[in-house]
Amino acid sequence: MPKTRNIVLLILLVLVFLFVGGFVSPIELFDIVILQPMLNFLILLTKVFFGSFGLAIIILTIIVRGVTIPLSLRQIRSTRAMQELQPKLKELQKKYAKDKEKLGPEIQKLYKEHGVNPFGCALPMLVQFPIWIGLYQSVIQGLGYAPENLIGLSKQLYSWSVIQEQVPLDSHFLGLDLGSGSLIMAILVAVSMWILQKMSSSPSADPSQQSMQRMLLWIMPLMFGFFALTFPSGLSLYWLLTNLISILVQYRVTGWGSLRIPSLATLRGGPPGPVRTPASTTGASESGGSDAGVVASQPEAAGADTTGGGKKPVVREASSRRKKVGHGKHRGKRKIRRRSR
Amino acid sequence: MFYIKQARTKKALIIVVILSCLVLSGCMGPRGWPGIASEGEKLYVGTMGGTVVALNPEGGRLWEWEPPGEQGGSMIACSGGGQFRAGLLYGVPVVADGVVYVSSYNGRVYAVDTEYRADKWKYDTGSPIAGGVAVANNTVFVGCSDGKLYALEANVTTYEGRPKAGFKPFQTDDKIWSTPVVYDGTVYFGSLDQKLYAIDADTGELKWEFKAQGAIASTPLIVGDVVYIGAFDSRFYALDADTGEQKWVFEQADNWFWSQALYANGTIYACSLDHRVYAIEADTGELYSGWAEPFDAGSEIKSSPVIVGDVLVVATEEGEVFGLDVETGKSKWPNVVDLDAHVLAPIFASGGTVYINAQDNRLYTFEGATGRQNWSVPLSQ
Repeated sequence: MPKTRNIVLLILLVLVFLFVGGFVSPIELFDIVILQPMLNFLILLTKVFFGSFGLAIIILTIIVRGVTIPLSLRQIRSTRAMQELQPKLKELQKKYAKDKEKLGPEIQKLYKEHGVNPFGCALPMLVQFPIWIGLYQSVIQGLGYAPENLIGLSKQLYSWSVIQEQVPLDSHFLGLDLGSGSLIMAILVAVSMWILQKMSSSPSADPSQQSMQRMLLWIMPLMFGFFALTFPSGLSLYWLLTNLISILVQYRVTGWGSLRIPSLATLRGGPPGPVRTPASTTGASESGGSDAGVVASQPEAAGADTTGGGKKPVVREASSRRKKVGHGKHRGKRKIRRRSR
Repeated sequence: MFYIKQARTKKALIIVVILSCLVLSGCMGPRGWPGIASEGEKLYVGTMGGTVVALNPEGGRLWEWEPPGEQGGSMIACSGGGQFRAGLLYGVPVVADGVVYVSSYNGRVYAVDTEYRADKWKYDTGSPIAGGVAVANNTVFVGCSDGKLYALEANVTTYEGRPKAGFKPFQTDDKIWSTPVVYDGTVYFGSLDQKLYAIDADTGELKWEFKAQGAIASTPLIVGDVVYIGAFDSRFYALDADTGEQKWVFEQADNWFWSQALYANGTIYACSLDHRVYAIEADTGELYSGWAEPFDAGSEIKSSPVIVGDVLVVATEEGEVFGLDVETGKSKWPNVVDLDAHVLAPIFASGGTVYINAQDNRLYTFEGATGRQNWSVPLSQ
């Protein structure tokens, strides 16, 4: 670890020297260090994969996201650890409400005790960010869908004939014109984004926090759905794949999170059919999403919790129609009480 | 102090903002680079707004033509080629017999009467046009992003234009962003499918095709029986105009050839995106010995140059304009002109005056011999 830290520090020092010395602008440096290698590799991949730019986008996205998975995992775990500490933090804030000077050290102590770094979720994201931008820019520049984009591409390409000969890239992939917007891709991007948002949102007792989460849950998918409809679908392909990989990574750490799948829970004795509505699913995630997520990833070990947590909204709606399912309702309430304590 | 709740809310908002910036940062949508034409003393200048302005020799505005019924582009100018419908202009307008022919990125070709400034006709190809038109023998030729070269009747009495009878649109394997050139009954044009085509101007039948190693977006230059063309493979080719046979190839450039080359006194002047202007012997393809070395402009040259007298006028994308001695390649103007605006459109020259339609939607004029700036006018009101 210290070795890695030294290398990172050395790189940062070199960058600062280059900026301060006026040898290179940040944009030029970004182009040389990140964008150009990525873009040229993308074009090389296109050549290798039978001239299919779509396939090249998929492969490059998987490679880049694969390389940054340790960082993503670290980020998600740090975020989760911070979330788990929240009740204790609140207690401290309450306890030292009148003694702000003591609150800081106490919080630091708490972090230390639990081995949590408050910047642990931000740092991996910051490190990954230039890579994401590079990947994103590679896709959009590689498409060269407008004359300005194509002519701009000339600045970023290596002078190897194998790369020069590939331009412009074939923009057709699986019946899609990667240079034009696509309704199907817009729907897929929006749905995958919604799933990711739902999985990564954490339960909160704070109404403002809840409303913020609810807003993000819809704003992000709608925004990206609109972008996917308007932008070239080559970019949508990248977004879709990024979302799918993020969903996998998120699942690996938190399970389904707030995204309850009612059928899994209700199939274990709950009523079938119309009661398993999306509305009831939303209700469940708002009241106790993270537990269900953990359970979903370990169905054998925590089956009882799943039933309790996952069934509650189903029962709430079903109880108006069937008396028999009242048992599940009580179990759900018990669980809520337990949590609130 | 770490208030997790606020921090998380802030983080969520920051993510939304960052993602939006990220998305929009990659969005360099089409803007166009409209060209200039003249007939008599009048100038016809395309604007960044997709209109054409007629100016007198002093820069006075005579009239402005606007494409009829344009709804504008998408809210975010980042959509793909087939979706963007705004009337952006990339090509140089062509004036013939009192009619200005304009090709637009919205896929339409317009014929505008210069006297009555009224639309004579319009024709919708259905595919974005990123090159100009060529007019010859009562026919308008235009290449589109659907890979087809269309031939349209120049003189029609109906408002809806129509394809030329007996001419079958010629299909290539990629977008045609090069402006066609008509010479001796043959239409020459390049395609992004890496080929230069020569087709019959009457029937649209293929005469010959030449395959380069890179895409072709520049406009061919025809001198005598030779076609000169540069490609994305950083090579510049000389081909027999009748057969398409390669006469020579110039391979010393380090980047694409995008703009149209020029010919004067047995020398070809070709600008590459490697920042250099090459003077090449038209017969042999060797570097012209009068120039000690290719001229390095310091940044990319995307606009086509012009020759005024013995001065070669070259503009870089960054807006620096150079006047070079065609014989020596040395600077002929006392100063380099800095326009403080990007230049992408072909430079135009008429009567010793150089006209540059810059990306700031302003028309700049210079004396070709000295580089002294005459006047400049905004093209939008």
